[in-house]
Amino acid sequence: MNINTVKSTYGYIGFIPFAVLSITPWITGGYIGEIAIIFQIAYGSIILTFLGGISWGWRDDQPQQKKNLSIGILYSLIACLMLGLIYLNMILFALLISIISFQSFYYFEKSTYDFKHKHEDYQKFRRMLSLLVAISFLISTAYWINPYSNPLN
Amino acid sequence: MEIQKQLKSHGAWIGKWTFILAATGSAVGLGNIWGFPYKAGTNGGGAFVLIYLGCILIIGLPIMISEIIIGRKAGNSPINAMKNVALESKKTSMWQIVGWSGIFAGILILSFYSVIAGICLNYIFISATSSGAISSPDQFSSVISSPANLIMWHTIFMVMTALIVSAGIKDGIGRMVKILMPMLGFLMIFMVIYSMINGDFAKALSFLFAPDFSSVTSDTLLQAMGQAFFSLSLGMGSIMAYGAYMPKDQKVVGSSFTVASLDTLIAMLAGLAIFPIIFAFNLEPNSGPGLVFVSMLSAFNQMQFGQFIGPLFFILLSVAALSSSISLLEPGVAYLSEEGILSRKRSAEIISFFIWVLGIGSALSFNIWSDVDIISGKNFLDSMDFIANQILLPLGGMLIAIFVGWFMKESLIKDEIGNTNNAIYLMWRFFVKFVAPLCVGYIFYRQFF
Repeated sequence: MNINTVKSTYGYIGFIPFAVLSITPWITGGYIGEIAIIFQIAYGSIILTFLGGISWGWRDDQPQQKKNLSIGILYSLIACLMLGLIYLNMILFALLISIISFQSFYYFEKSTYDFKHKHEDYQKFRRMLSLLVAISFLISTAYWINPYSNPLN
Repeated sequence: MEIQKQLKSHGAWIGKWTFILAATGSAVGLGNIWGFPYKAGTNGGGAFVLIYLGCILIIGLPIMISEIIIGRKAGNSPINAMKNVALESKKTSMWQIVGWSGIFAGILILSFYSVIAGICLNYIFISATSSGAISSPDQFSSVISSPANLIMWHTIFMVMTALIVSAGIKDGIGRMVKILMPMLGFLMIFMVIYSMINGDFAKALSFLFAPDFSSVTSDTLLQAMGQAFFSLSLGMGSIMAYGAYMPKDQKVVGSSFTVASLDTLIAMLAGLAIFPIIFAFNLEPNSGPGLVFVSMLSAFNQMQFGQFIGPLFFILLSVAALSSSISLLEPGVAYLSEEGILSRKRSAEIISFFIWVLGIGSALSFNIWSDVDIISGKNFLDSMDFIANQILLPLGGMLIAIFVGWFMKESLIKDEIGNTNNAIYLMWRFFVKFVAPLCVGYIFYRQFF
């Protein structure tokens, strides 16, 4: 198994909790649905911290790497903010920030010099995974704002 | 050799996705959009979906693969394709009757389909301007009671269809499906997101997918088999005609699987777009075709931004109808032009005119001819529907499966099917030889008894 296949396998396994936690509320509703969304945001914040951290592992001598380090820290801080928003019961904001963060991290990674020279399979995998995660948060957002399913109604 | 060159002169799809988009466009139509979700919801939800998927695998896919194999092998319209492949298999050229039956069925279906699609076009404007002062049932009655109105929209729809088909495979159908199908996908996703945010989505999910095996009866099985057969545009020559333009290096089995999957996905998305709105406004989900023109309009009249969402919904329906209608016209046009009887443009004009004239009968069946009895208590439109959908299509589909399963030379099949996994090939052979003809025969039998 080549390294890109290994990365994509682990990546898609990591997506499973996002998928399950975004579908669960629509099936169960009520309190379990609410908990599933909170778990999804918490899991997302862990992954986003990890993504922010990987920018520190990128090649030091690639162009603009100093700037990349700062941007990477920013994503880890956003992940902390998401957890804080859960604590403050601002779930909708946390969901919207999650959608924007995962999508924008992909564009950030895509803009780096080394990403453009990575294998085509890896590039496709990153694009697909970011899209799927954003869709999973979109599904949860819809559940949260839908007047028939919002657990706060 | 010269004749052969002339017969294969229609051109070919550019890129492997053009065939998939065109065949999916042919399969996804009005009946598919309102029919599948409705049948799923009233026949056991998830249980029906599972049975339907099984029926797609054992009936729909085997016949679709058979049609593509015949079409691509011959590279001709369905009539000549059946004739040539039968002759190459050392069988009688009488098999061309299957091609004739498909083209005839396509013409009859398009004659009334165009009238209904015309109503969809009309509803784009009605839903944009409706204030709710007239109730949606009254609105629908007023639309269908006016022969001039129905004929005008039927004419507009037929002109659009004829213009696309007359422009040819590459510049007409190929180009349009690359515009229409992404547009259909985009509109569908937009409608689903809208319903997910504003409609009773959880109830719709439960209605469509919660499995209720206690509702499954022999009738459910029949409904699932019928849906699997009719929703893929089989037996009418459309898939065979489109298969004729498929590049030789494209995989038949994989492409068929993609088309069937997309068709099912769009049908499910349609359910997720329509039913949350229906449930949110406490409307009846089992109102059949009236669901689209009466219930949905009523919901759009009541909802916020209804004058924006309503037209988008009816544009979606019109796009689905147009992508299907071009596939209904194509087989006949391909036949006349490849035989050198008329040019492609002239063929499209003549056949469309003939269909337009037939369609007037269907338009009048909604009003002044509603009581005219053509076939045992059926008015003109119902009679066309009866001949095409209940007789010609099942008969055509069954004969195609019998021909490929029992009479077509195996070397010709293997030429087209290529390097497919042997287990998949053997399974397909079994289904097309035994299962598909028996199941379609059973559908045919149950239509009458």
